[in-house]
This record gives sequence, C-alpha cells and structure tokens, in this order.
Amino acid sequence: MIYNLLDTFKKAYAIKGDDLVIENHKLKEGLYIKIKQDKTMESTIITKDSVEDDTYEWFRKADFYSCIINTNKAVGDKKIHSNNYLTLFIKKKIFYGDEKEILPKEELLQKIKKYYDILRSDKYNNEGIERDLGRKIDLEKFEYCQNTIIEQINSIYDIIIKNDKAFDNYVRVYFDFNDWKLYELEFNRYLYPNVFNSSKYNISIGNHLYGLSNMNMGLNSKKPYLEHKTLKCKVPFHIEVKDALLLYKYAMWLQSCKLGPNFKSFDYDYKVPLKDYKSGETDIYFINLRNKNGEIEFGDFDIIPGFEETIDFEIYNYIEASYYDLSKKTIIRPEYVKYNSKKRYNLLNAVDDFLYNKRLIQSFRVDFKDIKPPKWGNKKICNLLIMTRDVVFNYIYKNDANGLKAFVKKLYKDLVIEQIKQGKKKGIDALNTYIAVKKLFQLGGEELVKKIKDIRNEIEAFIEDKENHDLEDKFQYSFLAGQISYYLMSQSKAKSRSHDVVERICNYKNVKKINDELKFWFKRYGHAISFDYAKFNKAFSMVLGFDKSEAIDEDIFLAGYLGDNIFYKKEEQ
Amino acid sequence: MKLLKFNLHGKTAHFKKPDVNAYAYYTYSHIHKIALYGIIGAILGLGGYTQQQNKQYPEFYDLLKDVRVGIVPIGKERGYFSKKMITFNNSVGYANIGADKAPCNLVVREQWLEDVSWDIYIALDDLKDYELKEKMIDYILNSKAEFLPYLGKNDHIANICNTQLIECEITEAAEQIHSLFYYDEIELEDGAVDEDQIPYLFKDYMPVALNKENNMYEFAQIAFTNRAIEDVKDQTIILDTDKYIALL
Repeated sequence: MIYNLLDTFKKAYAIKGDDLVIENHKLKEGLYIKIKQDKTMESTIITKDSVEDDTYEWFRKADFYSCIINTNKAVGDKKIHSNNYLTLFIKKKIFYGDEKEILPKEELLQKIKKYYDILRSDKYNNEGIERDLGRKIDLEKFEYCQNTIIEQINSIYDIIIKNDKAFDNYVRVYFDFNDWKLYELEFNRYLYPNVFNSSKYNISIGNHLYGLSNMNMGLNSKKPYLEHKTLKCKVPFHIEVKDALLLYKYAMWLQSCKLGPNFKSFDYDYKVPLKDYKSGETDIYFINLRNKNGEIEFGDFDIIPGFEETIDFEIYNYIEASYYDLSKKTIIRPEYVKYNSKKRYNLLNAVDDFLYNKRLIQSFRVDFKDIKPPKWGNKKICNLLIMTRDVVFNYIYKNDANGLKAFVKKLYKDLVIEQIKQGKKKGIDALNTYIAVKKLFQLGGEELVKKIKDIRNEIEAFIEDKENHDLEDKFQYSFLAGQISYYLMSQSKAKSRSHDVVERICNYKNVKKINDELKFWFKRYGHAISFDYAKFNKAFSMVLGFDKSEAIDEDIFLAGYLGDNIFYKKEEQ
Repeated sequence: MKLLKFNLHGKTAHFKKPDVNAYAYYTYSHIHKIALYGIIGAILGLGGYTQQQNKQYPEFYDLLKDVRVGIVPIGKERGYFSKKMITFNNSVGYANIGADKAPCNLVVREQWLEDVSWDIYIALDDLKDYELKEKMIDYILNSKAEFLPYLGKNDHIANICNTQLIECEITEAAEQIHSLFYYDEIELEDGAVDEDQIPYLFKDYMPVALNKENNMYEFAQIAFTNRAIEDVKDQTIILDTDKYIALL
C-alpha cells in the first residue's frame, strides 16, 4: 500500500517539489526568531490564530526543513528539536519559567555545543552522505551560526523574558542566509541517517541503500513477532532511501488531512482542503486515518474499484403517518427532502439520524470496547450498533453492500422497534428509513410500499361496507392488528405511555397469542371506547375472527401501528 | 497450450502486505503469484521457507518460478471481495514482552477477505521437470495433497474443486481480459466493454517474484477491469471458451 500512495504523491512532487508539503505545514505555537546576516534579530509570536502572511510563510518554509522526525531521532539531546546548524528549537520552559524543567544557562550552552558537535561529526558527514548530497558541509557558515547563537544567547533570553506572557510552547531560532537550497541540503543531511525506522536493518543492493521504512512500521525487541520469523530475511520490508525520503514528506503531508475516512483517487491532485472524492472518479484508494501520538496511523486501507457517489436512495412517508408536534401545537406529516439528493452520504445521515440516535457516525472513531451503556444507549442498542457498525461503514465508504444487505434483513427491524419505544415520531422516521433501505437493496421494499397502500384501502373499504367481511390473509391481519393495538394503547390515560407493546407483539410467533394480547388491552381500556363505535367493533371482530396459526408480517404490523389510524378521523395527541 | 484449471475458494483468506505493521496487518485484495506457488508447493510436498537453510530460494519457488499462472476472481461484483478487520490475541507467551519484562498477550489486528473464489490456470508447458508436472496433474485432478493447502495463513482452509486439464490457444485479439493482468502491459480504453456497465479498474502493487539477495517480494502493478482493451504490449493472453485469461 505504501507504493500505491507514494505513486500518486511522486507525480505531484515532480511538479511542485517541497512546496507541496510546505504549503500545508502548520507552525507550532511559540516565539519565532529570525537572525539576519547582520546579526540583527526579528521576532514574531505565532499562535493558533496567526494569519498566514509573508512572515508566517518564511518561517513555515524554514520550519519545514528543520523539524526532527520525533524526539527519539533528535540530533543529540532530546531537548533540542531542530535538525540542522541553521536552526535551534528548544521548549520555552527550558529557558525560563517552569521550575522543574528549567536549565541553568551554562548547562544549556553545553547542550547547544554538543548539538553542533554532533552535526559536524562523522554521523552526518561520512562519505556516503556526502556522495549522495553532492556537497560537503559549509564550515564557514556552520561556525558563524554556532558562534552567533552562543554570543547572542543573552539577547535571546531578553526577548523571551520580554514576551513571556505572550507566548507558550516553543522558542525557535532561524538563520536567514537567503538561501533555501542550503536549508534543503542540511535537511537532507539530517534525513539520510534518520529516515529509516532503524539503521540496524539497512542493506546495500548494488549501489542503492535500502532500509526498513518508517511509516506505520515498527520492529522492536519486545515484540519479536513483528519480524517475519520463517523467512530468510526477518525484516518485513525494505525501501530505497530515495523513496524513504519521499515517504517521510508524504507522512508530513498526511498530517494536513482530516482524520477519519479519506478518499484518494488513483490520480489524486493533492489539493487541500481535501474533497471527499472527485465527482465522477470511480476508482479510489480508501484510507482511514488515525492519530497516534501526533503521527498518522492507517486504521484501514482498501482499493475500491467502481465506487459510485450516487445511489438510488430516497425516503418518503411510505406508511402515511403523521404525529402531533407539542412545540408547534400542530399535526405534522414528516418530510425527508434533505435526505433525498441521492448521494451516498444521505443514506449515512438518514440511518444515523433515524435508526441510531446519531450515534453511528460518532462510533466510527471509537473502539468497540468503549461502546457500552448507558452512554451509547441501552444494552440492546449498543449490541446492535456493534454488530452493524462496520457493515454500514463498508457500504458508505467501500461500496461493499454484502454485509449491510444481510444485516438489514436480520437486524434492522430491531433498530426500528427500539426507536418506536422512544416515541411515535422517532418510530415513524425509523420505519420510513427502514423501508427506504429495503427498497435500495431490493429486499422487498418496493412490494412492501405497494402492499401497505393497497391494504389500507382494502381495510377501509371493508369497514365502511355494510356487509361483513373476513380478513383475507395475514397481511391484512397484520395491518389491522397494528391499527387496533395503537388505538387501544392510545386510550390509556397514564402520564407516560410506552410503546413497549410493539416489541412484545412482534415477538409472538402466531395470531392466537396476539389476539390474546389485544383482548387483554381491550379489557383494560375498553371503558374508554364507546359502546356504539361500530367501526371499531367491526374491525375488532374481524381481527379476532382471523384464527390461523400463522406468523404475522412484522413490517406491515409496524406500518399499521404507526400509520394514520382509521379509528381516528383526525390524529390526536 | 496445455493448462491445469481449477477453482480455489474459501470462507476467509489473508495474504499479508509486508509494508505496514503498526495498527493492523493488511491483505492483498487477491491471491498473488507467490502465495499460489506456495499452495501448489504444499500440495506437492515441496520445501518451504523453513526448509530453505542457505539456499538462494525456497524449494517451491525455485521449481515453480517460471510457471505462468492465470487468476480469475469469481462471482463477486467488480472483482471485489469483502474485507473485515479481525482482532485476536496471540497468547503463546513468546510473542510479546510487557512493561514488567514478563511475557504477555500480543493483540493482533488482521484484515481478512471473505468468501473468496478464484479460477486458477497453470501453464503446464512452463514446467520443464517432467516428473513434477505429472505429479502435479495427478495430485490436483485426484484431490491428493502432501500438506493442507491454505489461503495465506493456516487459519484459512483452501478448497480446490472443478479440476480439469484443458487445451487453450494463445490469442492476440482480446477485447476484454477476464483475469488479473500486468497493468503496464495493457493499454485500456475509458469505457467498459458492456456499455451498460460502469467502468471500473482495480490496481495494486502485488508480489510477482522473490529477489535474489534476500527473498523480499518484488512488486508489479496488477490490475483487474471491465474496460475494453486498446492495445496489448507484452502479455500472453489465452482463450478459454469465451474468457480471455492473461498469464502472469
């Protein structure tokens, strides 16, 4: 996967060079000091809100060339975070302030001296490096920088003390020779010995140096099984030094990407801010980026051929339902216009809003072990979320519908029931979404919508008719049972009414049990129903007269339960 | 051209990508040449990495490396097999050392392929060793094996079925390739062969050889597509009834 990503990066790098990364490089907070050739100093304070003006850009470029890879790869002392003789990065607390961390001036000067000694040493100036870089270290400039820093250390202290209240974190000193090539050269001098994960694994093949790459790769003696145990070469992967340098820059570039799911088309144009994917681009790399101690880690990677942004997903009020809005004091028929632009993310937003209580998208960033009640909902909701999270993710970001299709059939009804338990409005939205998803995956959604419409008309005709009718099949029964159970439940005068009955009825496997349940509720709330309410009497007798040991159609039952009730002329609260 | 053809499938598979190990081990989207040689080597009882000692290559690779193979992803849309991240423990004790320097669990995350299936073609003419060739034909056609073949790791049992010996012609007039192929050797048009379909292209750097020095993988871009072919450079293509198969 490293070669895949590097491949497109190389193309962009060939055109734009280091600027590709520099323009997205963010300066850390701190005091930035530029020492000009006449030894005058110019200081700027950078905060999170700093404007990206000319000064900022100068520092940004110099900073890009001067950062160490991480503190384990510091030049000498771990307290000095710059990588060349042109710069010196030290945390503010070491100069001034914090009593625990502060170093006396003499000690600090010794560390700085040591830093310069190492930069001059054989580690950074051996034959191999000089051959690859094509230039030796410029000793005149080196001495100049070293001496100036030591001479001017008091002035640096003065600037820090003067600006003490205004900045935090770093003090960063840069020499300005008006020569970016020099910065680049010294950057590469630092990178050559440090760019690999560890120089222990370096080998030369032909004239080329290979080593273990440092991106998302680790080998350490405490985890012996990261090695490839049975192979001739225990190191898993070797990369050429030129590629390794690019890979390091790519890793820096990745820092500017947003964390979480990212798309890169095969010919990514490396523009930031990142678009999710270029419209019309169908073959893409998918990367899920995680942050691990400030470095980018791949939480998922895949190559997706034939990705389509547009899908045939729309939600309507399929079950013909409405609900009473307490705050607006009016009856509302739900509309779903904002989910109907037929984009893949519409589906994600719809299921997130209506089936998962807005917990799904949030959960993408969380480990399974951290998804638990009560923060993430009750135990059942947590279970359903854990079981179905990855399949939704795979459909949205990888166009892989296999898993989701299976789970829609198996588990999505449970999600709908959980929503109904939380209130009628949520139930209506959930059921409409569920039907829309079923339509999308051709799991009988189309037929279901038609059936619901037809049955409603049939039942209404039965009840209006003077003749007596028998219910013809379990679908009609399911719908009418749903209508009756909602009507009965709505007779309750209790302060907080619950929809728990829905789950119970869905769990009954046959009609007889459901009829018993309905009788029970009729006994309880029958007092509220008028003796002469012919419509209801007729419907109730039709339901009780349907005596088959069949299982009901739960989808239609739910549609009957939530859909506009035929026993109310007008929907009540 | 004489070929051995069979279907290779399994419930799960994992062909480890060697270049990343920090958060999880990733898998190639399809079986690659070296893994396929390994499966055949296991069936024939050829020596693997463990038996290699100081030789340049492990025995299975040494004997099979010139044999060209065709790999056709079967049954899934766009040649894409579902992937799933699996987390498990390696609790043997010598895999990981904890902060207190005592042995501890190693938590391993692996990306697995699900419900994989490929039609495999093996160019028998490339195998010069007559005895080995006869043994391969006998073992595969008659469902014999010295060692259990598996898909990448021994967690994933490999099933081999529909075995047959076939005779195919090499062709140059292919309008579509139904198998994996070398991306650099084929020029593609923008549109799909079947105009109703949305064109797709899968491509990845996959292992195609072991290098001489230290047996690391050598990579090439391998692709799979429904796009029409404009030009074929250096890629052998055979015709099996109505399917064009590129030999890797």
